[in-house]
Amino acid sequence: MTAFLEPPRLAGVPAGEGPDISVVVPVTGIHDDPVALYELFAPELARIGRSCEFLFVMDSELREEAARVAELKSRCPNVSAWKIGRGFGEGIALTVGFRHARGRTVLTLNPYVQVEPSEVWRLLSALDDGADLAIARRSPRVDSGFSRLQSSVFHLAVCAMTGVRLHDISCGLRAMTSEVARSLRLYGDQHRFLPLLAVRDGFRVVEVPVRQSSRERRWRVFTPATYVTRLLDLLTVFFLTRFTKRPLRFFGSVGLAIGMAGFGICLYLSVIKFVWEVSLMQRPLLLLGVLLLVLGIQTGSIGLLGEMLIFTHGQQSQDYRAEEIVE
Amino acid sequence: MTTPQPKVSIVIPVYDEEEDVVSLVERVDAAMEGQGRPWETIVVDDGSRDGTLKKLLPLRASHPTLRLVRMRRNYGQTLAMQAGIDAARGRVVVTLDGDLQNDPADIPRLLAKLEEGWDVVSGWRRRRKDNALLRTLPSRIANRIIGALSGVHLHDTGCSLKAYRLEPLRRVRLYADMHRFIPAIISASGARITEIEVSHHPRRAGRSKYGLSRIYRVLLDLVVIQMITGFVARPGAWFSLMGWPWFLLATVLLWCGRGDASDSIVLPASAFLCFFLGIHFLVLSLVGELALASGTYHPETMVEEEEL
Repeated sequence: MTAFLEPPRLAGVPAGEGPDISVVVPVTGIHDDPVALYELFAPELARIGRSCEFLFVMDSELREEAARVAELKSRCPNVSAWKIGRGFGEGIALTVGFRHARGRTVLTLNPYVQVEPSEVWRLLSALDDGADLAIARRSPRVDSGFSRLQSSVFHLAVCAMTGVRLHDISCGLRAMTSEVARSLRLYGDQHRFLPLLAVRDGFRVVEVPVRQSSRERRWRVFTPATYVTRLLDLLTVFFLTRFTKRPLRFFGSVGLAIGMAGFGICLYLSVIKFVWEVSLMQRPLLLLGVLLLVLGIQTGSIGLLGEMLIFTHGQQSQDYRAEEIVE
Repeated sequence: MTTPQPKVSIVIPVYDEEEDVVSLVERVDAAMEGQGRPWETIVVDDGSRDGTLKKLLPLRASHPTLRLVRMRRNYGQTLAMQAGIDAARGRVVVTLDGDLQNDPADIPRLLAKLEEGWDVVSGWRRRRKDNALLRTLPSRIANRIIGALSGVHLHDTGCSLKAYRLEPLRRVRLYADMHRFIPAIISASGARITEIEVSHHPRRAGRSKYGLSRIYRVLLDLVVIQMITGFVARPGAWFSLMGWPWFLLATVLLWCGRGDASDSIVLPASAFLCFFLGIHFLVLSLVGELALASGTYHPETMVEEEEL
């Protein structure tokens, strides 16, 4: 038996009084019919003998879907639905769902079918085996070879940056304890990196292979903008998992590298000016060198400001997860 | 037997110390036994991957003063220490290393010194038993710099064996690698700090978890600590202090550059850029003030007031 040293960060409905499983479905971006999703997964959860509630969190722009979910809600007592403001995104939608979830286990689903419903029990049994978060890994993949290639490149990059080796971070099917759901703060596009944030916070995360649904759309077309977003996401997660408490290590090192490059250029130009007496009037390199120096100093000082932010805002935060072993 | 309210909490973060951890707990008990100070020993297992925890669990039967805190993963010494401090029930906290390089027999002397009216008593490993070039020398230099920058002159800030009154300690929260700077940080709020010599033993088992790469990080941390201890109550002042010299430099460069025909662009251009940097730091000083005004750190709660 263990006792936790800290209270959960998000206040909410007391867990344990509700059903076994709270299924949170954020309906914000790409989606299929949410009602069909309910009709696929609810019988499956009933079949494996778990009581469940469904929580749909809808972007307020999706009026037609909202009407259908409202109709579903009037039919089924274990369905509830919330509407959030336009454009807050999936991260916030999940957080809202987590706040209202009453089950001891929280299951998240993408608003379209990614895996066979009959595979959900695998995740739940991983939780029973002691994991805090079980994420689905679609295996074998039915996507095209190219999309599998870019997925594996992406996951290798994630591994290089965070040291966490996962294979299918973008699959929306995840099962977690209510403790995980309540302690994570998701916003923006961070839901994609939920497993990495959970590892950072000290939760036990496991990957469970499940069969991919044949219904999942085979063709997804990515625009160049998607790749740019993904790259920025990577940078964000690199920063968030490694340097949230030590911004100067990040900005200071980057600033030092830039500044050293600028210093080297300026040194070289000084040598050619004062030793070989070459005029610098025609040398754009001078501009580059001086600007790099300035940029280096600016980057480093931003790191200092970051440290100041952490110190002045982090005084009441809980930076670790620990438990006292009582029995 | 533990009393409900121990007076002393001994916090020991351990990471992969299965060879030593049992004798460590036994020696702490031997040192505290019969001292007339009820104590608890809090061993914080910092996500060890070896059998450290397995060795500790059965110890609790024979050592009723032992408490175990397990970190969910390896968070590093500072946060492990913070977890131990958070769990502490005593009025006094003693921290020590988990590798038996500190001698638990020194604890009663630290406590006696603390009872003379100090807030922090730091250990000083006068005769260090470590590699001179890689450990002792860098640490001496670092201590000099820390002393000069923070105004707290200790010979050995890196020594984990320290005794604190809990109250000033609870006012700071530790993060990153800050544990070595606790004295500097809490002295800024008026805590009284002293040091006594403690014995030091060479490492018997396990492997040192420090390396030379630490120096770079300690240097960066130093900059942070200097900023925090000296100027966190006036962040504006700190950044403006870094801003004004650039304006000065810009003026000097402009003055030198007047009438210089050969490379007329170099000096004025540099002057403009220095001027930029000056502005940059002034803007940052405002953001710094904003950070303090909106944050959870309140300098007024840090200050210790005493009637004269």
